[in-house]
Amino acid sequence: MSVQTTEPKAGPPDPKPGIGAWGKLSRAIYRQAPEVFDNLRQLPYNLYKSIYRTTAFPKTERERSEAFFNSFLLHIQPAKIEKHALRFNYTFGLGLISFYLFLLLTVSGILLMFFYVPSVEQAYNRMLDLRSSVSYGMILRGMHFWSANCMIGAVFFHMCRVFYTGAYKPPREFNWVIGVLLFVLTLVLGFTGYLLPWDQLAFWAITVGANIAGKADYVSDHLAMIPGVPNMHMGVMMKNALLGGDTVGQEALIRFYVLHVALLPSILFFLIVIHFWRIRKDGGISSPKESPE
Amino acid sequence: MSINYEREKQELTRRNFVSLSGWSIFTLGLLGAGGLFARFFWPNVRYGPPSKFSIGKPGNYPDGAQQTFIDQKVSVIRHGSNIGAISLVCKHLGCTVAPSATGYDCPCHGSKYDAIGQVTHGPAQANLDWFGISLLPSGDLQVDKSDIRTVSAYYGVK
Repeated sequence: MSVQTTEPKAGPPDPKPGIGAWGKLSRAIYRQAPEVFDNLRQLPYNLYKSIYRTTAFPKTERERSEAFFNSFLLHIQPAKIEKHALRFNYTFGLGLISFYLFLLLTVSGILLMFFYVPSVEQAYNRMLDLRSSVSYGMILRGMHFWSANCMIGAVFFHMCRVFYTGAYKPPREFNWVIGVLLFVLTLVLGFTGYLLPWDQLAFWAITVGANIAGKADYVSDHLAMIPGVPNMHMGVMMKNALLGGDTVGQEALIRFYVLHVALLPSILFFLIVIHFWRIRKDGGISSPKESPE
Repeated sequence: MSINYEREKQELTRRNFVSLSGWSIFTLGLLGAGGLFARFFWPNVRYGPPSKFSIGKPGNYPDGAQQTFIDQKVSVIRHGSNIGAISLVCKHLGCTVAPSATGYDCPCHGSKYDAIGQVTHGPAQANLDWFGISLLPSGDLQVDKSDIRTVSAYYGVK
């Protein structure tokens, strides 16, 4: 792949004799306005330079570092890392696997949204239609389902890896807290997505889940023992807030849908960005040198 | 690690070959995904009302009757022993026309049609569609909206 990155020549540009209409056009432009001809010739170079702001073949250490600093996609990676961080069985790539699964879930989820309708009359039939009458609907639904299940596993094993390599210790203790929040959000996204097919499994799973929340009256029961404090029945309050009613119905479906496709993914993405940024600020991934045996 | 950058710029070295192959496979994958997305986006089923529907027995329509099936956007008329089904979709830009004293008027841009759907006032340039009618074994009449006819395509009732 030869990328033309020659510096623009000083002095008058040379109008090479082109063939046919293209040559006629270039010569006409050169005769009428040499500076326009010059600018057009430099356009590819200028475009490349404006996007990458660096040379395609960096020669020095400094140029190699600049190539990373000046590219949005590359700057997420550190310009230099320790050798052990490249060893696959130090991290097993579990953090990146979780992130890739999140991207896969976002793409497949957005595509599924084109055919899904969050209404009690239509939701189940739309899910069946995805399996039977939408091209590639079944593999898309399968991708979403299995990515979701695998993501919970990947995030869990990522936490295990972080624990066993001591990466939760200072200075990375705040990133561990964000990581726990990300794990909880992953679980809640799984729970909210569980209702959307609107089949028997979904209905009764959310009924049971909401009733578990409804049983959490411990705090308000004990507060009610203080004279003068009324019993607030916090569990029932939480259950009603989750379902938007007493039983799983249209209100619960639209609540879970909005949480699943808009609110929770937004929070998750925001926390992922902070999670990645903190890795760099905390000095890259943990090193065995930091906690000698 | 020493790379001869002058050579990299000029020749198809092993490094450039691997890079070119990688980008080619990436582009092919992207094109494939784009193709799959286009096929996925194309609807295989329609969720609207079915194009064939029953309008009941011919005896339900006395001479000169005009009845509107608004869900199907069809007007059924009877003249003597003839029954016709007229589309209520304006031939200008698809609004639903309303039956009026002179025939059918479009509320969107003011097109007018007479009682059998012939255009009398623009901007519409064509007459309203008529649909084919058939007799079901039950004795009911069925309108088929995929069977598009021209004006006065009546169905004769015995």
